[in-house]
Amino acid sequence: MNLTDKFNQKNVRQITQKYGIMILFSILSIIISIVTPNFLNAQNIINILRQSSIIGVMAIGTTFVIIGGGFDISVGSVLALSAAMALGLQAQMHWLASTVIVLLVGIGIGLANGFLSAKIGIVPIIATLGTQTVVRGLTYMYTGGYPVTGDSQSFQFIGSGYIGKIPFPIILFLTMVALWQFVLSKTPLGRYSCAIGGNKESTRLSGVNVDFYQIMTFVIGGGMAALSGIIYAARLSSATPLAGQGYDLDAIASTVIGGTSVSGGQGSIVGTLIGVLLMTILNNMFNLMGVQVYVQYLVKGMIILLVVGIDSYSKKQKN
Amino acid sequence: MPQILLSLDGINKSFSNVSVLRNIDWDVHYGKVHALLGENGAGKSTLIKIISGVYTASSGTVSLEGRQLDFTSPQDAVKAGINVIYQETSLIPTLSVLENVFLGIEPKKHNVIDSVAMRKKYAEVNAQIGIDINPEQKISLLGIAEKKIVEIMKALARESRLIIMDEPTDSLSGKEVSLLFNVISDLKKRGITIIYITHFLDEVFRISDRITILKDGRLVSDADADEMSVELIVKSMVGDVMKLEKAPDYPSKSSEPRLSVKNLVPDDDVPSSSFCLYPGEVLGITGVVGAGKSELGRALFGAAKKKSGEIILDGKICRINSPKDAVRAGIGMTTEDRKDTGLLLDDSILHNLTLASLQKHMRKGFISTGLELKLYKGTKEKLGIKCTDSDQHLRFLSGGNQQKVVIGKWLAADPDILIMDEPTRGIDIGAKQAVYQIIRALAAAGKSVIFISSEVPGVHALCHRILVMGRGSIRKEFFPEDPIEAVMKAMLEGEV
Repeated sequence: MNLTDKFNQKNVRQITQKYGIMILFSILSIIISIVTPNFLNAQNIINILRQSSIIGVMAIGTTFVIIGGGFDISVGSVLALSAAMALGLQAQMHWLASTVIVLLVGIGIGLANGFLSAKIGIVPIIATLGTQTVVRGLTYMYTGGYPVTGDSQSFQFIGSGYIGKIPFPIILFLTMVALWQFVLSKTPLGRYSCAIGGNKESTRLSGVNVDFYQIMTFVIGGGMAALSGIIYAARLSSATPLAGQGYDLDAIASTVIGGTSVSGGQGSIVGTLIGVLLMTILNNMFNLMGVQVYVQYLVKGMIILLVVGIDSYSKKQKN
Repeated sequence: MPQILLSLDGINKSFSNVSVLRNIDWDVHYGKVHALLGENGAGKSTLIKIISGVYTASSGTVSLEGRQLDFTSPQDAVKAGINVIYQETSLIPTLSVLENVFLGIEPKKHNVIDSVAMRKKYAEVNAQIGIDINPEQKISLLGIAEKKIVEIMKALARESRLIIMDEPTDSLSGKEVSLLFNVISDLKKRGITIIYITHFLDEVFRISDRITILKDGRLVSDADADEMSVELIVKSMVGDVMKLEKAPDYPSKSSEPRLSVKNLVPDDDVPSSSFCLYPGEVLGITGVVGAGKSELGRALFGAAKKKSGEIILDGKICRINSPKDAVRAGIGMTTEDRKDTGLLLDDSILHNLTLASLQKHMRKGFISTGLELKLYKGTKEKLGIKCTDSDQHLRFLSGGNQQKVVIGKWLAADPDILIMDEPTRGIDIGAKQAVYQIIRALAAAGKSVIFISSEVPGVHALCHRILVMGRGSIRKEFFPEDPIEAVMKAMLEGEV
């Protein structure tokens, strides 16, 4: 075998490692679409996209955090707090003002997560486990334990409105995908996030302010979680203090299924979009087949372990 | 009693086609202290790892008392009575001395640890080395010398017959070295064989019975200690000086220094260093492992916090507290360990190349792939990087090509001063020559290079001026016209 062949072989390996999981799940969804009639008609596709938009927006933030070498399991709680606040604050102010405040709160929580992880040095999963609990507690304090409701028509547009035939949350979600994919591949923030997740020390020694950029990934994570909370509130016009439980796990699952490495350094927002869609399709299929919720948990957990297992084991083999 | 404990016969070892050990024949004599010498990259570590079952030789055999060994793991070697004490301690800091010594071999009664038997055995082992160490003491509270002794006890508890020590005196004081040497002499009297890896020539003659020298993966000398002298050792270690043109003329000395470092103290317990660097100069910094070369470079670059000192750049005092500050001030640094601290192994060549100069590869506020690709093409051609395309991940490149990417990254940032820490380590001769050519070209273009290396021939041939470091401080200054043997000797003598 000559040298070029060897290199080509290596590139093939590089590609399968990067997209293998996505290819696997694409095959799965093709099978589902053959088995389930009417799967590929326009209405069903729009349904799937709309169902995906809340987790999807959240998962964009999660993708940034994981690419940067972090982990954020507080986003489910952030969704609950922001959904409750977005509705609750409308009693005192215009819905636009409450939306802005909620986004700032999400960014603030992201800032705290980033500070605890990058500056204090708490392992991110533990740091965000702490903030997860704190934020859930704040949500209970804010709501007093009762569901919060709102009735602003214009606010509801964010979750239930249409532009032409397309639901607004889908447009918002796809715009966010495009925006953050652009940030990831075309700005120093995106490039440095990947670099930090790949090797923080190498990046630091290349003259990059690594703490700042790592904190920024958490800020994006918190901000996007707040945005997903706003969509949630606008869609349901009601938020319970228990909202968003388990969403963090779904966001993480979507991210890793979309080809983002759990150890950081590699990934894409477009990949996460596909990951989210696949998760939603899977959920739909379970519901159509009448699979119990408990079994769904089991399967989801196992998918995460499988996907992360393949990624981690191939890394282990390489070293 | 057989004369020869361990015998190596025609050992070869290569890693992905790079030959590290070539045809090593070596006999380790029963109950002797063998000093194993050689420059960095001469193959000492690899040889030790083959003896202790970490690596398997590509060809050749290892036999213990005439019986051929077939180790598949370090545990096999321990069972056969071969223990290695590495430079970095393998003790568990949160456990006690007693627990560490018997880790994994605790005497048991009905499947429960028998602490009475363990203490009794500890007393026996402790008696063998003649120094009292409290078995209840936590490892984290011990000094470095005591830790070494605990490691020796750990080996003795495993009924070790051959103890290999890798640079055991590296961070010990003179008094501690004597303590360790007493222990070694006691062990020798009990018939335990020692292989002792060191850089310090004075120690070699104090402690060893036989001296073995490796050079470029070959065994170049193996003799009784009393047949050897410092001169003979230096001669063997230098070998045939690599053919490299002498450094071009020294840049005009009349010019002002670009950089003056005044009383820089990288760390506690280390004396301060002062030196200057001129435009167009290649300044070599050499010394053995632990001499403080990297620490000096890292402190200068802001990679490690420094205790005190002043850095004057182009006549102005410059505050450098992070690599970011250094890069802003026009200083770059290629690090010693390219895989852990120099590269993003699981990222593309393109992204690695622009990491230190992203701001230069942007148009209208966004990263321009066009500018990045232009850099990639230029760098690939200039440095001769062998790769398939700009997306290839660094993990799949050879060591030499990886090193070229690290250098390319800094060339893209275009610093006035480039600190290069062991840039030729672990790369083949061809790549080494290429690295030398790049450094020459940089100097010719008026850049200044600080070339940190423990490969004396390279330093001697390449640099306009050479600083030799020992135990944390700059000891001596040499020029290209000084003989290479003098540099090597100054380096090996360290403290003397």
